[in-house]
Amino acid sequence: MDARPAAVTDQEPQPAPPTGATGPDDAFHDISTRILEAVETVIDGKPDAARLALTVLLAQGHLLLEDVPGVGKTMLAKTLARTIDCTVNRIQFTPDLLPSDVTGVSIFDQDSRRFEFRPGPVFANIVIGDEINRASAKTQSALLECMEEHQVTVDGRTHVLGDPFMVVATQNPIEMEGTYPLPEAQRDRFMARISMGYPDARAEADMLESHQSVNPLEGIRAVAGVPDVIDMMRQVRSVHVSESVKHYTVAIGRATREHPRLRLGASPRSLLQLLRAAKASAALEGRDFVLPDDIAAMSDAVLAHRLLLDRKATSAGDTASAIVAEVLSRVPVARQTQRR
Amino acid sequence: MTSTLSRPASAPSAPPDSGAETRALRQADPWHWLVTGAVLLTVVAAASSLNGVVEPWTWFRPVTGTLVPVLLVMALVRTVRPGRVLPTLVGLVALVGTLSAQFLPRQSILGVVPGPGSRLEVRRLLAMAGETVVSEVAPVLADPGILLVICASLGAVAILVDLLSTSLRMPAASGLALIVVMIPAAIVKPAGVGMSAFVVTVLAFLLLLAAAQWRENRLAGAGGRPSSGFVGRSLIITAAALAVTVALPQLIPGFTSGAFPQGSRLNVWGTASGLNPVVTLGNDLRNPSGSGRITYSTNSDSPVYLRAVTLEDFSGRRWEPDQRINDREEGVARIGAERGAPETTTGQTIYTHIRTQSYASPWLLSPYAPESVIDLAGNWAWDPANLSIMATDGGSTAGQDYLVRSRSASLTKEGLADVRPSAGAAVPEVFSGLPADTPEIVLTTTDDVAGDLVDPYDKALAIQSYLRGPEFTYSLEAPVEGGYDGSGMGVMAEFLELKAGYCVHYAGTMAVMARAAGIPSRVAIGYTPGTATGDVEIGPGGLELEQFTVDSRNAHAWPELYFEGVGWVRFEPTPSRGVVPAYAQQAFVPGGTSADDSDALNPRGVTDAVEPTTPQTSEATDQDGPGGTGEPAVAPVLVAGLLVAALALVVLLPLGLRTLRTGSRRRSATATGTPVQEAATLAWAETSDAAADHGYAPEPTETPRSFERRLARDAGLDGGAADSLSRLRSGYEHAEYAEQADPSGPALHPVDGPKPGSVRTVARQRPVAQSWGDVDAVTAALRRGSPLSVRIRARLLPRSLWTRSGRTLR
Repeated sequence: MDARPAAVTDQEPQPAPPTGATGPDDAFHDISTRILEAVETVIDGKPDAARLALTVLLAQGHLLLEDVPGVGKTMLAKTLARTIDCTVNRIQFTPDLLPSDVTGVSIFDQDSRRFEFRPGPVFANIVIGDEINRASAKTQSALLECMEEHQVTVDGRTHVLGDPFMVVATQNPIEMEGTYPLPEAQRDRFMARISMGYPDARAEADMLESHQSVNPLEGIRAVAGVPDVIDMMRQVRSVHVSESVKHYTVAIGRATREHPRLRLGASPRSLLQLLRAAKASAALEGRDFVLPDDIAAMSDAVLAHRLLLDRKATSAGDTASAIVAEVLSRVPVARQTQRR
Repeated sequence: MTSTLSRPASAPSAPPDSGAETRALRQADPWHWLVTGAVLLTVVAAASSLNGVVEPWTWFRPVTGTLVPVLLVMALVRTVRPGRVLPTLVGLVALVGTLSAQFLPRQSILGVVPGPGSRLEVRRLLAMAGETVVSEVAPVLADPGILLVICASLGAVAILVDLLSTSLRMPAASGLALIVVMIPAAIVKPAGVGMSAFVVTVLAFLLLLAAAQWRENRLAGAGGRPSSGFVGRSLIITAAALAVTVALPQLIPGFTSGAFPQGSRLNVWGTASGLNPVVTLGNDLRNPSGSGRITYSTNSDSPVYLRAVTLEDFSGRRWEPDQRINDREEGVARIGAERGAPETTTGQTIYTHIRTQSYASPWLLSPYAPESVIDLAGNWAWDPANLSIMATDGGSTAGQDYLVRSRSASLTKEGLADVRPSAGAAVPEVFSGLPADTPEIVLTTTDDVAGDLVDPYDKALAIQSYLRGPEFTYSLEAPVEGGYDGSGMGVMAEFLELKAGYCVHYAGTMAVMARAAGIPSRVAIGYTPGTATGDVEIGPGGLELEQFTVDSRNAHAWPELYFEGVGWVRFEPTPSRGVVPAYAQQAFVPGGTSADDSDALNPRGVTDAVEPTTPQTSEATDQDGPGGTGEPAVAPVLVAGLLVAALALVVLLPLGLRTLRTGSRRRSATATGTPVQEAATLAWAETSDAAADHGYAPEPTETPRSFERRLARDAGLDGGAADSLSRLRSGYEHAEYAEQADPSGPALHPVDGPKPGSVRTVARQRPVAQSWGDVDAVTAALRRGSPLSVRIRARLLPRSLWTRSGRTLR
């Protein structure tokens, strides 16, 4: 006789026995909740942005915050950085900023009679690149290389960056004066791009009230350490991705490449980053597996800034986000059981 | 530079696209050929039940000639492009092509494309099939019309079975289509489908199931056990097949004894109907309820035989009335003289008022020889060759109330005895000729009986006396082998050997023997005088017309012999049936048992028209039951019941299939040992199907969560139903997307779907169980929230049967 219990009963639902599958643990949940709550105390009314920023951090990506000045981009980056007990540097990008101002320089030490490397602001766990599109392309490239390689090479010597390492860059819309738009290849280095948008009226009024007397950042205390974040990243990496979800992801990517109004679709790297972001999103939901919903939820943030619209679409006023939404409405959700 | 970037070509390392997937699937599934082969075998096996409905195996060549190309083409298309729609459409086209090639070769373009004239030819063939169905008893001859119907039907069944078994991968459900093939046999054949055909069909069906399961295992990549749903469906289908083969024949009176040679009581076209009444005559006689009641009132002094038609062409395997459409004369208000009739006749003018009620036939009943028929609805024409009256506009005798004026010739023994042998030129050859294949026994027997006699009257009396002699036994059941219930020269020869039969055999044999003795003859089909009701009505000229009633048990056949100068003369060779006319009675009958038949059959003391009471009539009288004369006919009720049952079967078929699927899923999901993932998938599939049935079909682009949200919102699910839906969705997500290493269940199981990005709604996992109760709860809530029309449609026409969601599981 088969001793295994019936999979489904005819009776009313009964609690299932506790199981021992691995997945995000309670600490993961507690820490992520505390980080998000802390961020929300400063960035009121923008839970999606705060959550996405944390998602990108846990997915070991970099975040591009794009919006008009004064909507809280830098504040979000700073707040996220302060909730974690880690090194944080901020770089204010200006047209005269040099690459060495970012990466660091080798200086000849008279005492030791040797060149010594003076690390630049990029040597931190979280680097806030403010108004990155105001710097020259050369300086931008220096930062972006660090983002990709997680290391800095100066005078033939390679210096490894810290772990975790995350760049949170802000930029103003390219229509603004005095900006150098990021090239497509370099935008591709950012896992996700979000637009903050204006807060709603209530949140804005609250902000006026709370920020009047004190700097809300001063009240932010670190709720997690670097080891905590590294452990959370490990847990995110272990989140399961089923074959059907992979097929769904691939189908979305191919749909963007074949889309008639796009000049450039999603790259394989972008799909990889989409999957990683979805894993982090699933972990934040308390799941150890990715759903198609995670892929769909992350698609706009991860894919839209990489897509290039053709002239017709641009002149018609189409946006990449609208096209991503359209693609999601057309791509069937793959199911394992259907192929069986 | 970025400005030069263009869309990259598909990289070799790109994930597999849908085309590649299709190709992979195609390469991975060559086993559909095996299933299609099994489909061919199964349909042919089921078609073997048609042996006995039509002449054995005459269907085999055209049917295989239809099925093989159709299924071959479907399998080929499926190899190139797997799917449901295209192979089915191509199969239908191939079916039309094969039917055209076989049945419309002259009207087809290139032999396979129906061309000009095809429509007319198809109509002609269908009309031929209709005539066969109406006028013949099983096994019918396999004429082109019948074969066209059989091939088209079986071709459609084969396409359906192949679609179900191969494309939809529901081979067990295809058994229902096979049952349809067996229904004609179950209804028409006395013994139902028959054990051999049933066993062969079941074995072939099991082979089909095995082939389909083998394919499933191959596709799944592992040799698994058949799912319980698979087995369950198969058992249900087998039970239904048993019901068809065993129960259905029981529903039709007459099958229960199994003693009848062949032919069913069931005649869906009405009582004693058809162009060929002779072939249903045996059935009418055996009908215990005496259906098709007819009343007539007459002023005749002698028993009135109501005659419908005559048989005179004795060639061919079955005798059929010759319609002689072109020779008929329209209008029956004034009927002329019959060919060969004497110029002057003496006798009584008889008025007969006939009410046919439910009796339906294209041949009009009238006493011989009719001179005028009035008050008749429809167009009728009379045949100068035999005075038969036939509807020419497709009408029938049903519900007619008409008056016939006829002349009954005054015949005497003396007058007939004076007739001398003649060359017989007064009547057409068809009344006097014998086919070349006339059996020897007929000729030798005639020679023995009448060889020494010279005058036709003496010969006729001798033959009649011989057949009425003690050697012959009246029996409705004696001939038990197939074919004997009909007519034809072979049957008459067999009758002379067996010396047992009923009126068709007696009359036919006497007619044949008369021709062998040189007397022109024909076989008349109609009714014996019947029973007097005691009522009298006033007819034309104040005549008193005495009323009689007849029903199917009075159906009769008798020979009419031609005497030159006298005309056609009725004889009565059948013992215990009918009335021997005074001029045909013989004092020196060998064995002399029937000389007083007229007394026994005398309805009024002076005429002979009552039911026979001799021991030899036991078969007829024993069958008189409560449904005898005066009772409403059973056959129409039975036919209506069967039609209603068939209609109900068709209407309820989707409901049945849907219920089968639900039951199968439920059993599988609640079975001990079923993995949690499979159970959750089954529960979700059932939920999705229930939603689809109620108008909320899941879209292919919807994730389980988005579908759940939409369903809960649109269907107004809340409270327990919404929780149940959430649990079902959650269980399915784990089955579909979570790692499958731990079959005992998910570790993390959020109850509520999160709103993406919402920090405060991030839910911690809490364990929940799968329960079929959740499926029931959601289904019940959907029903509650739907208007009546939707609920009815969901039950009777469940959309999930043909939507993609139904394919989430086998």
